[in-house]
Amino acid sequence: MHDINLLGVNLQLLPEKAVFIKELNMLLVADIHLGKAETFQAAGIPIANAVNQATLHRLQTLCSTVQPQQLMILGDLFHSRLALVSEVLEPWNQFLRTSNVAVQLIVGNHDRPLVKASGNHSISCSTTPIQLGNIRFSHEPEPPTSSLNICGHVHPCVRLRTKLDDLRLPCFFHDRQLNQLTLPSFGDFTGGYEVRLTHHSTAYVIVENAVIPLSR
Amino acid sequence: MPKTSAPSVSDRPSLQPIVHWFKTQGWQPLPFQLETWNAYLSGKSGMIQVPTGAGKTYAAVMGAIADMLHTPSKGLQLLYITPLRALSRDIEQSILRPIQEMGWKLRVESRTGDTSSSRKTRQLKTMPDLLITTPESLALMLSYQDAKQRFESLRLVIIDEWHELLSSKRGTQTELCLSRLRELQPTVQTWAVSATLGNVQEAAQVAVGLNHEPVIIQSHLKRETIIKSILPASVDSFPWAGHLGLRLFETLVEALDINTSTLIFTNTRSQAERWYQALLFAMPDHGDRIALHHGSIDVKAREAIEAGLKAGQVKWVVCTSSLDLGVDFQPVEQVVQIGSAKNLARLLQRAGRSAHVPEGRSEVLFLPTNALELLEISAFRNGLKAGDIESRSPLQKPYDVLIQHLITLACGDGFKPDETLQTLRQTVSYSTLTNDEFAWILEFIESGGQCLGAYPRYKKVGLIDGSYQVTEPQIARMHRMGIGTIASHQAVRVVYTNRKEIGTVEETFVSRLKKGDVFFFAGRQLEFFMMKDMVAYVKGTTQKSTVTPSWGGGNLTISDSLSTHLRHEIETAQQDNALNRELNCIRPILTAQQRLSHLPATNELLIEVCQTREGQHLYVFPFAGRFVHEGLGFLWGYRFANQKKTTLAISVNDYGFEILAPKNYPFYDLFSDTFFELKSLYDDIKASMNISELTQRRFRSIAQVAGLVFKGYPSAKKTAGQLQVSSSLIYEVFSKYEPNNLLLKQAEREVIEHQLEFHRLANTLARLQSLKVVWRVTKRPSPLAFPLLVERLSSRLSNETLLDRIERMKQMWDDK
Repeated sequence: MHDINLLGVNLQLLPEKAVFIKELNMLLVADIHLGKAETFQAAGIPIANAVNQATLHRLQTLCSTVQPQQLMILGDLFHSRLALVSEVLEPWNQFLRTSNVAVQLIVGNHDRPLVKASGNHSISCSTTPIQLGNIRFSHEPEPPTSSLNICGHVHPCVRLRTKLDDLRLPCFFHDRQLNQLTLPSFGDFTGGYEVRLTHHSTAYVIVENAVIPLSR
Repeated sequence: MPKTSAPSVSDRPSLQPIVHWFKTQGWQPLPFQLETWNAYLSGKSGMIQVPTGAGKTYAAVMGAIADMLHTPSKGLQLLYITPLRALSRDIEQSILRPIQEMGWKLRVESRTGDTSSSRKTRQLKTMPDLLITTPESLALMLSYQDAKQRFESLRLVIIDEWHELLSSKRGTQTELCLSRLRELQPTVQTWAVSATLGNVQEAAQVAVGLNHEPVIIQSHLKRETIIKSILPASVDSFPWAGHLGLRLFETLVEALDINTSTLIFTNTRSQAERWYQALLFAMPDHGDRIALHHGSIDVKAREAIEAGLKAGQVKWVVCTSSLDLGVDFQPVEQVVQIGSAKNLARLLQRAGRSAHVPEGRSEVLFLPTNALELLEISAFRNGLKAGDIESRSPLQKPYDVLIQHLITLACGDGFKPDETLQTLRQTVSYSTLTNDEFAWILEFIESGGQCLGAYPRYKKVGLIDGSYQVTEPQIARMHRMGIGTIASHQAVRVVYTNRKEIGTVEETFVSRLKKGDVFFFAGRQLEFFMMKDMVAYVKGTTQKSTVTPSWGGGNLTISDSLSTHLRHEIETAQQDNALNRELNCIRPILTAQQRLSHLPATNELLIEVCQTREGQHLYVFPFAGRFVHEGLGFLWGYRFANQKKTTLAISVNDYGFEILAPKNYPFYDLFSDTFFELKSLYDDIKASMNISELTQRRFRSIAQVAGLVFKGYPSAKKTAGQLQVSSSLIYEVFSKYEPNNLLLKQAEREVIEHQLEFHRLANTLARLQSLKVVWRVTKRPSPLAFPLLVERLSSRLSNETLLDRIERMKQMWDDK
């Protein structure tokens, strides 16, 4: 765990790829991509559906440890239309029933066509960014304002390279110039996009059970 | 091998038209041509092995054409497979010549990736009598229904340039397609055409399949190959390392004549780009007579260059292996090889481009690009003298190629498992395919895998009336787009803003460009404008830049036979007498090596250690070729790390390898005789793979061939986005949820057998065991070590925790 304070907001960056905001009693995750395995299966690529269970299991464990009042999902909860099948939806609904948490979804680009199709998830969905005090939650990065933008979508990773070593690690990416904190993707079967460290950014890389800040 | 009856024309009245046409050309059929025709006409299959330009095309096709004239029939009768679609036009021309001149009623067409789709559709309905195609296009044809009718009249399949395909996955794919054709049309005959190979019998057997006895036809043409070198006045002009040595371009220009047609071969596309730039600079008045030719340049531009060369307008062509093959380049008078060709067979092939008459002398000018390559020149000469030509072996049952093939069949007429297994076992590659392996593969394509209930939505092939079939049109469409076994990085088309095509570069290169950046590609200065939908838009510019794209792809390694000669050269170079020009030239560098460190004799193994800002370096010089060095580097790396946990970076070249460790890593203290231990070799190599990314990297191309990742679809962008995934992610998921997946096993096997060359590794280790180890601590890298120090490609091995690694990197970061 790593505590930071951005624009007066205290944030706990968790190595489980989530952020906890104590003041709001809110847990944040982004880019879960449930049903990605099933989407691939339909195209003839055998990815085991156990990746959904592993992802959900991690979310469940995290919720019972942190005990947040609210779970804010910053988009891309489901991967595609083909993801909305019983093997995916049932465990998800089971999670909603058993975990005592209010779920708020900001609809992501992968979710957008699904909002209608998926119907009733007993969660509240928002297709636009949500402003809470000094924080603006969104799926895709927002243009800079005086508020802190916390978003997903990018799946940030940093590459660390010397002649001796070469590592690629998921990270929380904070850009001071843009007032923006991007979360790593939460889902098990999700890739990463390499972001470059600049003089006005910090990457909080996730290494085993630690979060380590890196800046230039 | 079985003897064929003595060639005689009168035996075969059907050959009369052929001999007649030869007469009109003022030609006499050569003995090997007659021999091939007779063997074909008596129902045999086999392989022709003759030098390039000796008349192999007519040897291969004329027997069948005689037969087709004698007993005419309808439909596709002759299938001609060539590895390069650029060659298909030339082959079509030379086959058409007698047909048109004699007015024979035979239709000849090509079918490759360049053929228009309307023509392809027409061909599927009505096949020509003779069809020229590539392995990939043949596989595609098998993915359409009614293959039985399409191929029922087939008499002969010719596989040209078989040595190029043989030991690659494309070769395996060809073998599989041939086995299917033999299943559809059991009397079809097969003839392969190959350049010089070390393992002729095996190559022929792979081509004809296991239930045929191949006839082998070799010409007795003697061809002499002479290697001359272009040397600078002083060795100071040579870089110790690197690939360019462009400083020598003036010496090269002096050695050549702009009126002599010349092929200038380089080993990589980026070298070709740079040499072309240098030659243009040296010959500003002859820009229109110098051209650049490599596989990433637009097809039309390449064809224009080939035509220009034939017509004599273009005189010098800087090229890569893109011009290794080819039918008739009559006008080529001079061949230049820049940098080591790395193996004798390739050098012979290239040298052969300059002597396209059956008997003749080929000569190649060799321009070394770094000092150590000087040693290779005389190693090459000695290798040629000894007749050490390398063998190329077929691959052992790669599962990915089989999976692709089976789905191809399922897209077409479908396949019955039992019959198909019988057919597969008639190929050399899959002759040892076990029932369990086959059952696993069937399960993999039918239900996703053996992990029970893991793939409820899986759809690919289904079993309908005892036959496996693809029923979803979308899946068949996606599969057809992915047919082929050439693993490539994502290619980006380079196009002028007015939409004129220039060629392709790798995405990783383009992703580093910013608007306004200038780079040199296809022989032009280009300014990057923007990237959209996998197309990089550029504008011409007069600004100069030396940035050239680089392309990934196999590193060449010196062959086993060459490395033996190389070690002798080092020994010879130390003697005062018997020096040739090249060894004389490199002498000052070897003296420096002796002064700064040590020059190893053949009974010594030199190991150097050296500390720099980057860490502790260990250099070892077995002179055994880069693949073996990679194997040794990983083996020793593991044996070090096993004693003291660490992270190591391993770099290799043909002379030795480097192991880089963190500062003060005690290499000397940890080293012992057990490093030469053969007993635990296999286990240690396996263990080293577990703490490195070798297997995962190897999996990349396997995932592509097996259809697990897609290179993208031109028409269905949305679907593509949802299916975008890196092979490393798939590798992780497979390793976690289905560790017994055969494709993972294949990746491991490929690393051990092909990348680390396990069989050569054991021999090398046994040889090293008998050597005297000479340790030297150097203040800075020696001449032998320097090329390894600047080598940018390295692989890693680590048994430390991520946290330790991050902490060290952070430290180095903070020190900067």
